Amino acid sequence: MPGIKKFPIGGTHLPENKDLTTDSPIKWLNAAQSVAIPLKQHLGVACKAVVSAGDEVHVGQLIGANSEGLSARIHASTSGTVTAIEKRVMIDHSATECVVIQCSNAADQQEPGIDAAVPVKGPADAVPEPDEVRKRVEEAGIVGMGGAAFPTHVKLQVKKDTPIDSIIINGAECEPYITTDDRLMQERTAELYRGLDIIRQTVGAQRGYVACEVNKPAAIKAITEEAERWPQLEAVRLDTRYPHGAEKHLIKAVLNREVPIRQLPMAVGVIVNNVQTAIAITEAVDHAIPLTRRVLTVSGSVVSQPGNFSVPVGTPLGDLVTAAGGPTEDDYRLVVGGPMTGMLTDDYGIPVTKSTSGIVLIRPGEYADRSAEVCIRCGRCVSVCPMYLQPNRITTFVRNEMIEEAEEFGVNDCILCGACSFVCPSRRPLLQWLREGKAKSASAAEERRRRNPV
Amino acid sequence: MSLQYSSTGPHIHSQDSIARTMWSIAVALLPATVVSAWLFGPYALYLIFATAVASALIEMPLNGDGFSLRFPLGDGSAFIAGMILGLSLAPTSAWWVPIVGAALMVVVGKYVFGGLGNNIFNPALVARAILLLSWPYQITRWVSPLDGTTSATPLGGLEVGYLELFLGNVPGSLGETSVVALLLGAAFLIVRGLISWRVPLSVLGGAAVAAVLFGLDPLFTLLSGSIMFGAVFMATDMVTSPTGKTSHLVYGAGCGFLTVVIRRYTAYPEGITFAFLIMNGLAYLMDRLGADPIFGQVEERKRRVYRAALLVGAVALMALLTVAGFAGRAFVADRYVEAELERSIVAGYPTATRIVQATAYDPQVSIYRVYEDRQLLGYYARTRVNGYGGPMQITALLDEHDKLTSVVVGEHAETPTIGTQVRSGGFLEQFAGFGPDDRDGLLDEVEFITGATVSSRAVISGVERILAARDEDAAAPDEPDAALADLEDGVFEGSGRGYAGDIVVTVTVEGGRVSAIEIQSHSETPGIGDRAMDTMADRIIDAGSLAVDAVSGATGSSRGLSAAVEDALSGN
Ligand code: SF4
Ligand code: SF4
Repeated sequence: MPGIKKFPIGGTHLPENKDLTTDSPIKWLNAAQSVAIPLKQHLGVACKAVVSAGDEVHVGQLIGANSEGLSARIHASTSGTVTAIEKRVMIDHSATECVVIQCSNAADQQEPGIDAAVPVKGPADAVPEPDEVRKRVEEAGIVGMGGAAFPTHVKLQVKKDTPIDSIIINGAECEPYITTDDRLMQERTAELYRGLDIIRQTVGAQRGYVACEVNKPAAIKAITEEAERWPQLEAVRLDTRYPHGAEKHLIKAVLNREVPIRQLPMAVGVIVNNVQTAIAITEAVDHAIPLTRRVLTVSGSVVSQPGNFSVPVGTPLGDLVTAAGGPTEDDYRLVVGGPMTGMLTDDYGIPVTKSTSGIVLIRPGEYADRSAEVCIRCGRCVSVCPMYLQPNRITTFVRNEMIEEAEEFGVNDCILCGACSFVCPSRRPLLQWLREGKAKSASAAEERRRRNPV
Repeated sequence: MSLQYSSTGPHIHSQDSIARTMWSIAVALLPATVVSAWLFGPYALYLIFATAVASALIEMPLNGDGFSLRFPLGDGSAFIAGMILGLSLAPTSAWWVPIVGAALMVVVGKYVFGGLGNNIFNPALVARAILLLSWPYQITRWVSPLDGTTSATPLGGLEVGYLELFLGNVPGSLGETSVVALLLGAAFLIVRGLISWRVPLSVLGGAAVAAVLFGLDPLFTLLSGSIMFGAVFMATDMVTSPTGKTSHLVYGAGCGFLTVVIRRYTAYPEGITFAFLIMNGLAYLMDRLGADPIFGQVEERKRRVYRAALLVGAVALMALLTVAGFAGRAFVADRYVEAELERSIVAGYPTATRIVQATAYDPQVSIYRVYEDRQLLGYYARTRVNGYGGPMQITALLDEHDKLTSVVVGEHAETPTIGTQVRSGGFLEQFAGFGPDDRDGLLDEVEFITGATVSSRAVISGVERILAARDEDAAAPDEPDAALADLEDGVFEGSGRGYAGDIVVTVTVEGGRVSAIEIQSHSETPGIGDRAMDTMADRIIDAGSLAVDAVSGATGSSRGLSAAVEDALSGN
């Protein structure tokens, strides 16, 4: 096995706190009472509901669809009765149309999991034609489950002028606390490799890689052993450094290719997929199971029984906290996603979507203190920025409404990883200002277009 | 889609804070502090901590955080800057220097610009610069460590070995003398991730390159003076240095290079204060122009490499041209000057057969001894003085008894109608007959040209200077006939008084010229005196004259050797 790989400059080490859940097997969780399934869980246009209030639905049934290219179908994640189709607040504070399903009794919620009797296909088994694969993936409503929620069937569509030669499965999972990919790599290794091989053959790539940071020894062991069965796939060990999970940095580390600025990985012949997405592809292609659940981590120092759970999409956050035994202290904050890039909320009714990687309850001592003292120009933010930006300067521009200068210094190239904020000794909320900067830059661009339509 | 920015991450944070950063720097300063207390005594501790505490106190009312928990040391930034300033003081600084320095640092260096994070120039250096310009004596009186005698610093001409420089047992500022203590501090800072190795290393690199270019000993340059201290604790000052990786390198190299330029070409033996201040002023520009390409700017990176290569090429070419120009011009100018000089001397002494340049004790005066065979005809001397309109060249001819025979005003820039009259025979004739002994009478006895007081006075001062130089020249021991020609063959022994005792030599004369000088015994400093004597012996043999320049830094040994050779040949 080749040595440990990493991207060349920038990045930082975080307190990982993964030991809380790395050894707890994924627990199957049924919906408690009701789920609210958002009709928009992907980049692009929202789906239209194909059921209406009062309908009986069963798990896996199609409930939302849209013929638009960039959308992904939505399926019922539990059996029950549709009680309403209404707007609910999402984690990004947008109000999104949701199909609310009141669960029927637990017995017939049992979803079509992979039948233990049907063996997972191996390297020798055939993969359907690319068009067939894309059709099954589209029907299963699969999106990128790492966060971006890009519809996967679109990603598997190869453009003629940019042939793909390598597929990377992103098992870096560099966010602290989160261990979903870690567990999946250990528990569902065969399906992961099968999924990777399906992707590889569908887009006509030669090689596939499963990349994992060395802070997950059990997962590394699992993927390394499994790789021996697959002649064209291999396991890659990554150094532990935040943010290895960022697509462009993963590519740089694994293949030493640099994705040109403002371009997609395809430009260098690579597609990156999430661990869970690859497993979902196996389920969809080989077992015809739609994407209705996801595995996520519920962790944090104030959670009494932190663990990894497979939960129906649409489950309210509150149910997850309950499933993990609830908090042990009263004073905590709820973060959806990882503590680096996730969002803070106090609304426990927000539903889990296909791209929710976990929730973390953080204690006061761990709160990012936002005292925001003056910038002492120490340069630490510059030295950790994996995009080689100058966050100190960009944020100064943003705060002085100098958007053009901020753009010139690359505000739009920021990947919002938060490494700069994490290390800033003056506790400046750089990431927050960078987000503001991006939003302002977008509206400035909009304004320019409006005034000067080409 | 509305985003509430305050709910975005990161929700965890590294344990670092401004205060932690600052106190870590204090830890890094400890080795240097301890060493300075050991070398220079407890007063060193007073100087260092008085500056630090005074800085913190003076900052208290200014930082607007007067009565919070962090009272009274604030975030520690003033305390640290104070320690750094304290460590850069001379061990004998007066008791008030720390306090005045601290006030200058906090008020002028920091709060005039708006406080922590906003100052353009390193506050400690600002304070140091003001102190240096206002009280040069108080802050540059150096003493030897441990025994406390007043002494020059190695940069001021003291001869010391590398090991002493490394350990710090040499005179200098409190914190700068011990390189080993500074390296300890640097290692700590780099390991803690508080400074990037790029800055100190490029400072040293820039200084070494400059040293090689200007013909200095690079290792000595790095080990002596404040370069090491500055590289570790001053160039890395966060607020006033750039933040990018490339700009770190450029900035550091600039600091080091400029320091050596200032050491070499200005009146200040230590250049870091002004060099670093200049670079501070450029830090922002460097971050702006030297921003590293963004990850993914593949083309841009290639372009930069190409451009950097072009730049290096262009600079190299320019350097080559400049050097060639200089060499060519010096060559031509030397030839011209020599020819002109010879013409002019021969015009004054038509029978001259041999001209020997005498050692100039006053560097502004050049004196030539003029001989007809072995017979001294007199002295020919030149100097430059500032007249009314600019520099003026004064030439004086003296006879063998050191009496002026004539004075000539050469190139000048005086006003054509009146000032020029100083060139008139009537005015210049008045100087004839004066000698070194009665030069004090010149001012009274020479009549000024009416309306051209400044020009007249300038000529008189030039003549005075020449006579003074002649006076010292005549009094010097290795006089008068320095030329070693037409000697009797044989081996002769002689002795002379050196720096530390008598030097005994044997001189071999073959074919009328000295062919070998051997040192029989001496008690000069090993490594310095003996090397200087060997050099002198070579110089004397090569020149065929005793009138050669002494080896700088070992004048005593050099003179002693000349005296011994002269003694050996005295019967000749
Ligand atoms: S959030 Fe943006 S600016 Fe900050 S480190 Fe990450 S990429 Fe760089
Ligand atoms: S890390 Fe913070 S204090 Fe340091 S330069 Fe960046 S913004 Fe300024």
